[in-house]
Amino acid sequence: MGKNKSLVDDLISLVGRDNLSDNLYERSAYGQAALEADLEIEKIPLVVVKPTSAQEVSAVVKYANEEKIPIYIHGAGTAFKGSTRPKRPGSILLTTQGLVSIEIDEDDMYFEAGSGVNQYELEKLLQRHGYMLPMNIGSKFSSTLGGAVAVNTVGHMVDICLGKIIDYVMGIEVVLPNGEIIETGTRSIRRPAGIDYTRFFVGMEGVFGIITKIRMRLLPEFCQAYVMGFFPELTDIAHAFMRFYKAKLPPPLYGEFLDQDACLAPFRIRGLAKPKGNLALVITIGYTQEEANRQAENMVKIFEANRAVEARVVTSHKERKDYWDARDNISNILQTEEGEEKLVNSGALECAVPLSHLADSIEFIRGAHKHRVLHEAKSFIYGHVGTCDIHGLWASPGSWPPKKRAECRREALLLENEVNLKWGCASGEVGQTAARIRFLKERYGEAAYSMLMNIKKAIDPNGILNPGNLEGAGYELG
Amino acid sequence: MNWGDSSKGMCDDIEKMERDIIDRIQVCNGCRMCVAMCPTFEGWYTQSAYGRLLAVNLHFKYGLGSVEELSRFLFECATCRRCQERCRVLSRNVGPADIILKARRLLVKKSQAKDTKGS
Repeated sequence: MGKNKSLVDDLISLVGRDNLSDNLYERSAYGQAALEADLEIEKIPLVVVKPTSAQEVSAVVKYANEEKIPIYIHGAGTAFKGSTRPKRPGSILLTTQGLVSIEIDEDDMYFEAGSGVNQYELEKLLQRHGYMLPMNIGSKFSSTLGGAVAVNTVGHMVDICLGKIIDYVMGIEVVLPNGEIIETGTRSIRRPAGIDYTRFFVGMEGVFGIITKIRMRLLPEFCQAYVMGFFPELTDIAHAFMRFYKAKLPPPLYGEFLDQDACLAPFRIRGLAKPKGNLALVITIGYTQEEANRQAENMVKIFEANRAVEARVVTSHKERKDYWDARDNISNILQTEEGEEKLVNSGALECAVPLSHLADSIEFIRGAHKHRVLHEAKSFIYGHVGTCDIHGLWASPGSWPPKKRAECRREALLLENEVNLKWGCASGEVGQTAARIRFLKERYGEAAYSMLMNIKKAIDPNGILNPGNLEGAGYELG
Repeated sequence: MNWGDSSKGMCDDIEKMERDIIDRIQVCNGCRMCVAMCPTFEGWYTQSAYGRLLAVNLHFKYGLGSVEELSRFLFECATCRRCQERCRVLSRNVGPADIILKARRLLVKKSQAKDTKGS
């Protein structure tokens, strides 16, 4: 108790009383990861701090490094596979949500934003100036820019259309594990060749430093056109995209699919008619509306040639909003009707596959595997088919015993690992360092993993930033 | 007056309410869509539906945290029900506002049951 009081008093002197909470309820709420139902009481952080400047972040990190106290870094904590969840007892949870400055520099074609800026607020601000945010993450209403940059995810967007976040990050301000503040990158639209320190941090999920500010290239908005299609089989959609890319057509901005079961609840909520099959949604882009429309028409033709029962360009604003909202708000799929037992998420996978194996991998994930508990659960398949990224979600009634749910979660992770290994790929989004350690070892070998751990040791010798994540703590799959 | 029977009925009622609340909270996947839009949110999770649900869970499921603080967080809710609609449209339809109101009633009932036993 005395030690905790001293820790709290010391941190108050660094960030101020208003930017710290030692309340148990608050600490517990911040220490919980999305989708993780069970609480590990001994790992509830000792304190939550919300610094409002890089200097305050630096002071906290310096202090923690001297005292050898673990720090878990948290944007909004929405990462689905526990990367922000404390893995060690006695930690400080540092949320970047107090870092909310935004400056747009149109002359030099970039903006600079604090890592705690909310993605949706940023997106709206950029749109008001005629720009787009080159990412669309399902949790954008709550998640932060820094979280997305730390994971290097563009969410639902197709990577080969506009690129990944790293392609837009011109530089960052970052606090190293010893508390030093450094700036990386450039202010020119010409990205550095050769060594670029930015790459040590973008996508590294906070194991090497805490990103406090991000400079990103401004991207003028494109004209867009919308396509939807219903197909008898989910694999028909996969074949349509395989054919689309083979035809050397420009990649769409979005290429989404949902299996028919996954459509049911989202459609019902929005008053849409029952789905006529498995749903595909596409957004094409162009510098002119004619160009975007032409690409959309191309997509419709390819859908029709691949057994679509309905394929068309969507022009009504309401219809477009309803269908895309049905896809974007994927948590809707677990909603049940009045009187039905509530479904809970018991397992999830996210894996990317080679284009030529898109259809095979869907079949494999749907059922051609040997995981017993997954077969007992209700499965939903959806994802970003245009970028070969497949999501699986297994739901169970809330009455399943916790042990069975835990086994379901384990099997889903094993299946994800199998798919990625089978086709030589790697998952393409969702903060999930801890969940991927077994994969990293199996896919790239022990020598590569040792290299990673040696770099971590060199940069963070006391192992204070997100400890346990690189060891796979909490995701020991057996 | 047979206080024993009446207090037993009240206890059954309380246990059922508590179970219902805990079961319902387990449906929440912690997407935090109900945080920033909450009119009482000033930067800390317990000032939002998400934080309030987790506080209820911590107290009733794990037996942790003081009842006074829980009560304060729950009664600070403005009951505008925006979280309820947002959760229905964007997420799991957990019914956060309903849960918060039910948890408030549960706290009152528990306090009454304690008074009844005490008398």
